[in-house]
Amino acid sequence: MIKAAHTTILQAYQNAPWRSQYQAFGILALSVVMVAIVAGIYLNVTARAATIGREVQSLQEDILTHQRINADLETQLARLSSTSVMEARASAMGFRPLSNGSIVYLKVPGYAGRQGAVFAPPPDPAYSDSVTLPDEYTETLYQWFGRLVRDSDAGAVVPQQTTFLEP
Amino acid sequence: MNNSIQWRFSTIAFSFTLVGVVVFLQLVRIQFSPQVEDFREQGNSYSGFWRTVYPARGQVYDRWGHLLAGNRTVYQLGVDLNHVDDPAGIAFALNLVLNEDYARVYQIVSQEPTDTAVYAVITDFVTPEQVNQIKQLGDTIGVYTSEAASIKSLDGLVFTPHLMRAYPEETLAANILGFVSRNGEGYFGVEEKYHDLLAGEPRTIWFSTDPNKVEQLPDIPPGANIVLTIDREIQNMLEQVLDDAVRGHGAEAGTIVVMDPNNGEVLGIAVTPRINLNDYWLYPELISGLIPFNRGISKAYEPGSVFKVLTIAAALDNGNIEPGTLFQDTGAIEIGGATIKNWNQGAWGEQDMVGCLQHSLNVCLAWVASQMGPSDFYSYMSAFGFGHTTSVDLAGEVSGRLKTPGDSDWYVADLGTNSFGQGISATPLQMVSAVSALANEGKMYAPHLLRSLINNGRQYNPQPQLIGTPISPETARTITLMLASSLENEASISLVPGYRLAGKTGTAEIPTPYGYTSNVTHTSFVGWGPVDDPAFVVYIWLEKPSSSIWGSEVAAPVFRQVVEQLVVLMDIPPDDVREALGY
Repeated sequence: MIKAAHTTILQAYQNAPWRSQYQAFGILALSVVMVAIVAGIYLNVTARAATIGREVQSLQEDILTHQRINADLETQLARLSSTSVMEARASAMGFRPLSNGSIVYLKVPGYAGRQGAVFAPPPDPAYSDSVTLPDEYTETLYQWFGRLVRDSDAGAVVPQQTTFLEP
Repeated sequence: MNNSIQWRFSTIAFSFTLVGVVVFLQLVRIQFSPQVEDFREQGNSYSGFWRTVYPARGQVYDRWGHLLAGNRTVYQLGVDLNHVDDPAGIAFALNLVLNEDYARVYQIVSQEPTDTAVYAVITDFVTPEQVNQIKQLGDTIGVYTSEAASIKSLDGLVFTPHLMRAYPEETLAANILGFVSRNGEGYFGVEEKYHDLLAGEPRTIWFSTDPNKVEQLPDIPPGANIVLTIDREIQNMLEQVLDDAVRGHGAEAGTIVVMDPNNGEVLGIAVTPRINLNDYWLYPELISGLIPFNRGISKAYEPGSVFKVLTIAAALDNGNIEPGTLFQDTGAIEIGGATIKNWNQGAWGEQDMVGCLQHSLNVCLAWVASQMGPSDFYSYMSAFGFGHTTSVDLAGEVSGRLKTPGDSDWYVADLGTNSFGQGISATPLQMVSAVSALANEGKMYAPHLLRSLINNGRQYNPQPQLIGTPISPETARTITLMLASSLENEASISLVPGYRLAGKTGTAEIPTPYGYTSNVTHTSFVGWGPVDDPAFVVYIWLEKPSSSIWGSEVAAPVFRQVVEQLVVLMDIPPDDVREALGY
C-alpha cells in the first residue's frame, strides 16, 4: 500500500508538465546567466585593458612631448645666455672686460682649477647596472633547503640582499 | 495555441534561421574567396599604422657645457581634408603669415578626400610664433577681411610639432659646427663628421589603434651628445679680434687657430666669413664659389716665413746647426740653378741662427736646408705632418702639398724655396700641429675637437693621441728659446708684457700662373707661450691685407691682441707671478 502510493506520487511528480518546463527553463536561464557572467567579466577586463592601453598611448605621447619641450626650453635657455646676450647684459650693468694688469692671482691650496663639463658618470668597469635577483626568486626548494642547512652549519642565516654584479 | 499563431511563430523562426544560415554561408564564402587578402589588408590597415620615429639629434656643447647646437620646436602644417570648411580662408591666412603661394595652398586644401588620402602637407618648419599668428587669425574669424579675401574658418588646419636643429650662438663657431639641413643631413664641421653619432638611429614602429594591443614603445635612444674642446669665450674673442683685424687691415679674409700643444685640444678656430647657422640656406650667398667653409682646415696656402721655425728645428735636431752657428749672408745663394735672395734683396753679413730667424733671412734658411740635404729635410717635414691631413675631426680637411724628391714636379731648387715656406702648401691647422711639437717637448698630439661623448647615460673622454715626436725635447726647448730671444731682440710688436713668448712672423708672396706676386701677400704669425710652460699655440693668417704687406706689421699685433686676452681667459698668470706662486 505504501509502496504503491510512493510510486504513484513519484510518477505524478516526475511527469508533471510544469516540472519539465521548469527544468528546461532553468537550464536555459542558467546558461544565459553563465554566458552573461562570462561576457560581463570579459567586457570588464577588456574595457579595463582598453582604458589602460589608451593611458599607455597617452603617456607615451606625453613623454615624447615633454622630451621635445625640454629640448626646446634648453635651447631657449642657451639663447638667453648666449655670448652676445650675456655680453650685452654685462655691459648694460656696467661691467667691462678684464685686462691682464687688473687681475690679482692667489694660490688656493687644493683648488684644481675650473673643471670641464660633466654630464654623465664615466663608464666604470667596477660596477654594472644589472642586478641579480635574490636567491628566493630563483632557487629550487631543494637548493633552498641545502642553503638553509649550510647557513645553519655556519652559525647564522644571513638575509640575501640585492647585489651588484662585478665583472 | 491555435494553428494560426503556431504558423506565424514557425515562419518567424524559419526566417531568422534562414538569415543566420545565409550569413554563415556568406562568411564561409568570403573566407575562401579570392578577395580574402584584400579584406585582410583592409582590416589590418584599420588596426594600426607604421610610423618612423626619429630620435632627437644629440646636442653639442663647448668644453664648459655651454650649448652650441641644440634643438627647437617647429611645426609641420597640414590639412585634414575631411574637415576643411574654407579653403580660400586657409590659403589667404597662410599667404598672409607665411607668404605661401595662395594658389598652391588653395589647390592643396581644395582637394577632395579619398579613402587613401585624407591629409595633405602644406608646409613645414613653421615657427611657434608664426603658428600663434595663424591661430590668432583663426580666433578673429569674420573680423579679418580684406578686399581680396576673408577668413571664415581655419578648420582642418593641423599643426604637428617636431624638432629641428638650432644654434643659440648663431654665428659663433659656425665654421666649426657646420649645419644640419631640413632633411636631417649634417653638412661641414662637426655636424657632418659626427653625423652618425649625433643623429641616432631612426626606427619604424607599428602603432596599434587597438587599445588591447598597445605595446610599450621600444626604447629609441636619442643621438649622442658631444662636448667639444673649444672654449666659447676664447672662440668669441678670436672672432672679434679677427673681424677687427680683417676690417682694420683691409684683408680679404682671415684665420686664427688656437690649440693646446700639451694634448692637441683645439681651443678655437676663427675664420671669415661666417654664417648664421640658423639661416644656413643663405650659405651660397655668403660663401660662394671656391671659398671654403672653414679656411683653417680646408684652405692650404704657401705659409712663407713662419715655416722657417720648422726648418731650423729640423736642422738643430739633425745636428747640422747650433744656435751659435755663424752664416755669412752675401744676399744671395744658388740652389739647384735657382738664385735665392732675401726679402729686402740685401746682404746681412755674419749672422748666427737667432739672427737668421730674427731677420727672417731666406738665404740663410736655404743654406741650412742645403746642409741638411733633401732626404733629411723632407723626412723631417713629413714627420711634422706636411703632405697629409692631420685627421682632425672636422669634415672637409685638405692635405696641402709637400713635393718630395721623386715627384715629377720636384726640383733641387725646391729644397731652397721650401726651407722658407715657398713652394709648399699647408693649412693653418697643419702649421699649428707641426709647431705644437716645438712647444711641447718635441711631442705632437693629434689636433682634435671631441672632448667627451655622452651616450647611453655614460660620458666617454677619449684620450689624446700622440702622433709623433719629430724632434727631441732638447731641440724643442732650444728653438723655443731662440725664437723668444729673436722676438725680444727686435722688440717685436707681438710681445705681451709679463709673458715670455716665442714666435715668428711670416710674409708670403702668392703664387699665380705668372709667378709670385710681390705687392699682394699672405701675412702670418705663429707663436706660443709662456716659454717655460707653453699652454697655447696661436696661428694668425690674414689674406691680402691692404694696410701693409708685412706680417710683422699686420699679423704680429693681432697675435698680441689674442694673447693679451687669451692669458686672462685661460687663467695664466704673468711669468713673475707664476714663479712667485710656485707654478
